[in-house]
Order: sequence, then structure tokens, then C-alpha cells
Amino acid sequence: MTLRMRVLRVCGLLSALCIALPLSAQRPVRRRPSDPPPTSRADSLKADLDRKAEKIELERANKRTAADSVGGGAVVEKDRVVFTLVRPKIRSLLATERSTGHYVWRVDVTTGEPMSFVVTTDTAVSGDNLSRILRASHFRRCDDPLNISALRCAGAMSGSARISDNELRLESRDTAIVAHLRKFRPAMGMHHTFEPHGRFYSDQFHIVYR
Amino acid sequence: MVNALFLVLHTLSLPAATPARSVGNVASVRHMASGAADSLATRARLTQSISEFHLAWQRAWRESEKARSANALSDGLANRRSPFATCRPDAKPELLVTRKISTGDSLEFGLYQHRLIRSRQTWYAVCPTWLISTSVNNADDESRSLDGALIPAWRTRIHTLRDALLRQLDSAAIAWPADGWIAGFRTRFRIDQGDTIQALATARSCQSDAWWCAALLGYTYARQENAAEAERAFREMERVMPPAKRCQWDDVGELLPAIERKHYSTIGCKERLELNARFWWLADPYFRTAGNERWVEQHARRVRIVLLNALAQDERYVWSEKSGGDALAELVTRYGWPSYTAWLGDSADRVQTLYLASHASPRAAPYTTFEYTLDRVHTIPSWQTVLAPFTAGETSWFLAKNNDDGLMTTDWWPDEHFRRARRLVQLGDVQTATLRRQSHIVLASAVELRHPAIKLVVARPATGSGSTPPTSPITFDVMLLTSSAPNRVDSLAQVVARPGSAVAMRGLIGPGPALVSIEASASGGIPLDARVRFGVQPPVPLDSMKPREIALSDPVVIDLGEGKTDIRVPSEDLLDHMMGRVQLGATERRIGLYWESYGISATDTVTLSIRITSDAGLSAARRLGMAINVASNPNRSIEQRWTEPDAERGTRTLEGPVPVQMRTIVLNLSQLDPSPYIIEIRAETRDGRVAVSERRVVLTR
Repeated sequence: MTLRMRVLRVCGLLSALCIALPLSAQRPVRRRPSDPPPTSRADSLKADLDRKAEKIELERANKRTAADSVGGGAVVEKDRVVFTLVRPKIRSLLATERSTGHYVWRVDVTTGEPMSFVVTTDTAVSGDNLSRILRASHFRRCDDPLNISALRCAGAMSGSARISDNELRLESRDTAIVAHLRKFRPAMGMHHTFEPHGRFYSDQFHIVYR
Repeated sequence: MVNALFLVLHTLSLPAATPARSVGNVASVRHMASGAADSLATRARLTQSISEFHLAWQRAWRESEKARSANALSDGLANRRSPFATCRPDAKPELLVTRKISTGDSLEFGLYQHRLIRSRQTWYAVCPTWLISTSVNNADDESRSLDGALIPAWRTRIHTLRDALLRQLDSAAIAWPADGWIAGFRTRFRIDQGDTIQALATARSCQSDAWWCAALLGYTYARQENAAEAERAFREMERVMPPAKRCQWDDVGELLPAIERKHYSTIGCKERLELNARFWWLADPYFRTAGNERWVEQHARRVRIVLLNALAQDERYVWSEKSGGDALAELVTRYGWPSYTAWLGDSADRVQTLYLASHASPRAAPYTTFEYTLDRVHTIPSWQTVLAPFTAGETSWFLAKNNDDGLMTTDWWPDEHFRRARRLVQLGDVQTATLRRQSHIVLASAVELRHPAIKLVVARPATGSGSTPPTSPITFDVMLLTSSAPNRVDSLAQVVARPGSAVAMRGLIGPGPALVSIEASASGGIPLDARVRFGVQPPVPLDSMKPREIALSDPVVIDLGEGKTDIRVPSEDLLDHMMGRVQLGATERRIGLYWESYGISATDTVTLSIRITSDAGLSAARRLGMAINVASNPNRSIEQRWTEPDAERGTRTLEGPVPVQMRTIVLNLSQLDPSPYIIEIRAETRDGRVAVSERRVVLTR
């Protein structure tokens, strides 16, 4: 292979890759629960695309919810559920109104069989870094949905929470929660944010099933 | 002012956090110990429970408002309410509401977006107004009971939830009996629950700061409408309150118009104490009843603000100053809690939140109207009156506005108002005279019990429990009172009079200026009071007159009563026939005049004159007409002069160290054009001593 041919081949590969990436983004590759965890570079790329696809899906859900006058959204997959709560001012609010108490994020699904869970610390906390507060918080399922104080919700539940920009993302792979949602397929839910100084916010969100 | 409230609140807020302890990997998040020794953990849990209750209440309220809105939307009420609910500081006045209320509505006047109250921190603002609709489906006045904002179907559920919350607060109070924050919530929620008896017990058992416990007690009494006990508790609160806090708490700046508010803010705490005392004395709606309802109401408002402000948000409103809570605090300070708050729904909220966001202001949804019933009175006088109370005239107070039928109207909006249990109206014209006696002054006042509202109750008397009209005619119990200083009220006379009649009363007062108040309460369970108030600066009594000094009393216009009143024999008893006004109708041109001279004995030669001069300003046309001799000068005076002693004149003399002479005369003013006139009486002795007095009367058509 001549040098000219080699150069052309590398250019061709590069251009193919350049074209392939946006195409892949437009046609998201969904990762199945049965799929092996990503190991190779290709898998890593695939996982990246997967996340992009998920984001697009969430954005779509958010757009729809915005159009329907609600905030946030949830995407239920086979093995997990991701709640994205829109809270534009929360970061600055927390930064300026530091106080001691419980930060509570509560999700209520009222249609079908009611289901509630909360994300909160076990004891009162003081701090103004939301990410750190979230890392110290736990997911707790409410045994008596809708009718119980958030701090008395004690049911075991797995999940993770992270804050990005102005979004709060709650993800749970708890099989009972996912199974509950998939069984009753509620279309809407409510989320409430309680801050230690007594401020609270409520928003409705749509639930998308994939 | 609001800052002051926040400072007051500071004592009720959470104390400093306990030392941090690291949990897991979160070094900067400080976890509070939740052991029995730590009230912080208790408060944190209570805060969460209270917030959840607030959320539940708000849900119930939103559902209630949605249920009401179907009807409201159909008749366009939502459109009318929109500018008040989504109140914007930068809205141009001409874009504000000036719509007429539909003819089907009993309110006859247009509503205007009155002076808005804007937050000093954000673009959040509130636009208080009168009730936009006279009836709201399934709503009670929420200024009396918060749950009145809920439709009845929700009230029971909320009652149950609040009961559970109260049990939790009560348990916490056992562990933390000295916690004022807990005591505040227990009292507040018991009042919201409609259980003022238990609220009173809670306030009495308070073991927090003495001033705060007294404040809670006063607040509870105030909500029970027991003004006398509330005043006692609030006085105790002021007594034990630290001076700096009291200065902030007592700040009345927000009740004043903008210019006066600025002036007030420059006054130091010490000077304010005296000024505030005078302010509230003058704002007392009714001197004859013990206590000052307006002062009590103000303290109750202050406590309410602190209670609602104890968390960043109450059931609906965001009290955090950074979210515009200062505007809410000012609203409550000036007008109290509204009677009805309409919510226009999520869409309106979103639009308003976007508006606030466009001005970098945090959201404060839900946004509502703040509507007040018309039965409010503005008892605070003009600032000029506060500075010089004894120069006050009948018009120094503007209590409320009503139409000719006695109905309250919406075309006014004061800097503050409050609701009395009984309607209070202002009587019109009054005639007052001061007559010198040895060491005192006789104060004589007459007023007519005429007011459209009085006419209204006479025509349509309230019947109390049943629909049977009262058998006995409506009467008014009228009192003549004076007050020379805060907390000092003297009752001079009391009579029972019929509506529409003239009431003449007199009594002795000491030397020195005083505030005079004629106060009339309707009988027969009719919740109507009437008053007129003004300052008098009486002359010195006889024993303080200088040697050889002469003086005249105010001339008193006597009602001749179609010839029934005999004024030929001058006497103080003629004061019983004083006219209750100095506006004389077309059939009242013949009047009697009574006056006294001091320092002139029966043997002194004195020249007396009565001069009547028009007090009307002359128009340019009139002045031109007079210049070219085609118009007469209405200000040309008419004078009658005579010399005494004169056996034909029935002057009566009371001899003494300073002799007092009583004189009367009948005047026929029928030749005079309708206009205001000054009747001047002048006495001149042979040795050149002169005394003058005058009375202004208005001749009407």
C-alpha cells in the first residue's frame, strides 16, 4: 500500500466516524438490561450515546411537561427509573438561605396504586452544598403513600441522586419501585421539595415509559 | 420597618447549630444530634411536619379555588381580578383596572388598582383592594378564620391534619417548654383551628421570653375580639420588651403616607416613644370604650407577621425577605389579613413567575389578590394632627367613604385601615363654644345625629337574631368626652337622642387644650357608632385673667325652634338649644345668638357691635362687575352697634371678682345671599379696652 493510499484510507475512516457519530445520536442505541456492562472503547462510546439518547428523551418529556404546564419528568425503563426535577433557583436559594434542618425531596405517584418515596437525611443537616447534602441523603420508601410525613418514611429503597446545573436527578434501580411503576403505568406524578427553613415547592411531572 | 420585624423574628429563629460532626464522606454537611438534649433536631422535624401541613393546606385551598373559579370565570371575575393577583410594579397606571363592575353586581363603583406595595428586595408586589365580588362561593372571611378560604368539604380534612400536627407540637412543648418558636406555632394553629380557648391556655402556659408570651396572650385575646384583655397583655408585652426591640416593634412608619414616613424614619427611638403614644391616642376609634381597638389590632398584626414569618413560607405565601416577604409584611401591617384571596390558577402563576424571573426575582407562587371587605375604617389622622393634636378639626380624620344612601363605597383607599366590630361613621358639622368660669371652662358642643348610614339603619333596622323589626324606636346614646393626653379621657355629658335630632351637651373642663369627641352608639343591637372629633384650645378661666382684662366668649348660635325658645332672658341654659351645626338652610335664617362678656360689670359703659361679613372668596367676574358698578360686593358687612347699660336690653350680670355678663340677640339673615359668613362680636369699653369674638356660619340654599 502506497503512502497515498494509506493517507486516503485514514481520511476515509475519519470521515466515516465523523458522519457516524451524529447519525448514532439521532438514532439512540438503547442498552438492554441483559447487555453486558460496557468494557471496550466502543462500548464506552455506546454508553455515551445511550446517555445522550436518554437526555434527549428526558428533554422531550420536559418539553412536553412544560407545554402541559408541569415541571420535571420521569423516564421508566425496564430496570430503572430516572426522575428529573426542574428546580431552576434551588442552588442560589440554598446558597443564600443557609439553615439547619431536613432537605426533603418527595415523589408522589398518585394515579393507579399510590406510591411515594423520599430522599432525605436521617438527621437535620446544615450546609449549603446541595451535592454534598444529597450524597448524605437516603432513599426511603413511604409505606403509607401520600398519608405519611416524609420523615416517617422508612421503607428500604435503593437509588442515587445527583445535581447538575439546575436539575436534580434521582435514579433508582429498585426492582420493587420499577415493577410498581411498570405495572400501574401512571402518567403523572408530583414532586415536592422541602427546605429546612420551611420553603416548599411542588410540581407535577409526566412519566414516560421505555 | 420590615427589617425591624425580621430582627424581632430573629429571637424566634433557630439558634446557632451545634458543632459539626463528620458523617461518612460528607465533611461539610453538619448533622445535628437528634438526642433528647438537642431542641434543634426537634425543631427540624417540626419544621418538616409544619411544611407538610402547609403543603396539604395549600392543596386543599387550590382545589377550593378551582372549584370556585368555574363560576368566577363565567362572569368575568377572573379578568377583573387578574391585575390584582399578578401585581406588577412596572405596570403603567393607565393599564390598570378601571373596569366598571357589571350592573348585576351590587357594587356600583369601579375598582382601581390602588397603591401597590412593592418588596424592597425583589419585583414581587401586592395590590390590596376592596372585595372584587360581594359574594364568593363557599368562602368565609379568612381574616376571621384562615380555613374560611377552603370550601367546606376540605375544612374537616384540614382540621384533622392540623389536629395531628398540634399533637406533635404539644409533645415537643413538653420536652421544650421554654421554646418560644414551638409556643408560637401551638398558639397560631389552635387559633386557626378555631379553638381560642385552648389557644389561650397555650399562650398562658408559655414559658419563653416574657415579652413573647405576653404577645401570644395579647394576640389570642385579640383574635377572640376581647380588646380590653388584649390591650392589657400587649401593654405588659411592651413593658417587658427590651427597649431596642420595642423601638422596632412600635415603628408606625408604614402606616404613614410616603413623605411623612420619610420624616418619621429620621426620628430617634426616644422621641418616637412620645410621638407613637400620641399617634395611637389620636387613632383610638372610640374614646368611650375602654381600650384602643386600633392599637390592639396593630400589635395583633405584628404578632401575626412574626408567627407567619417563623418559617420562610406559610400555607400559601413566601415570607422570606429574599422572595418579597417584606411586601406581605407591609400589607398585613397596614391592612391586616385580607378577607378573601383569589387565585387565578397555575397558568397565571407561571406567567407571573416568568415576569419575576425576567427581573431576576425568585418565584413566590401562588399569586393571589388581597381583597378586603368594605367595613373598614381609617382612624389614623393626618400627620399634621399628630404633630399638633389640639389644632385638629372635624376633617382631620377621614374614617371611610359612603354614598348618599349610607352604603360603603370602593372609590377610596387609605394608607391603612382596620375593621371594627361596629361600623363607625363620621358625623358632620358641629358647633362648639367655650365659656369661662371661675377656675374652669364650660365646654358646650352640639351636633346633629345625621349621616346617610344612620338614615339607612332607621329605614332598614338590623333585627339581630330574627326578622321581626324592633318594637322600640332606634335611639343613640351620645356622650361628650374630652381627652387632654393619651390614656386620659373625661366624660362630660351623656344623653339619649333620636336619629336626626340635634344633641347639645356641655360640661366643665380644666384649662388647657383638649381633644373633644362626641360619640354616639346606636341602641337595639344595631352595630353602628358615630363620632366627631376635634381639638379645642379654651381660654384661661376667670381666675387667670389679668386685672382689667375684658374678653368675650364664642358666640353661640341658638335654635329658636319656630319661636318656642325664649331667649329674652339670657342664661347658660340656652346652651341646651345650641344648633347642632352652623350650616343654615333656607328656612333657618332667623337665629338666636348667645354670648358672654368677662370683666365688664353692669355699671361699665360698653359699646357692643355685631358685624356680619361674607367669608366667600370673590371670583374674577364678580370683582370686574364690582369695578364697573354692575355687581354688588357680597363681602360688604352689615353691622349693628349699641351701647350699654341699656335698660331695654336684657343683659344679665353675674357679679364676682371678674363679672360675667350674658347677652342674647335675635338675628334675621334672610336678606343675605347663600354664602359663608363671619359673625363678629366686638365689645369696647369707654377706656379703650377691646374684646372680639366670632363665629362662622354658612347660609345654604
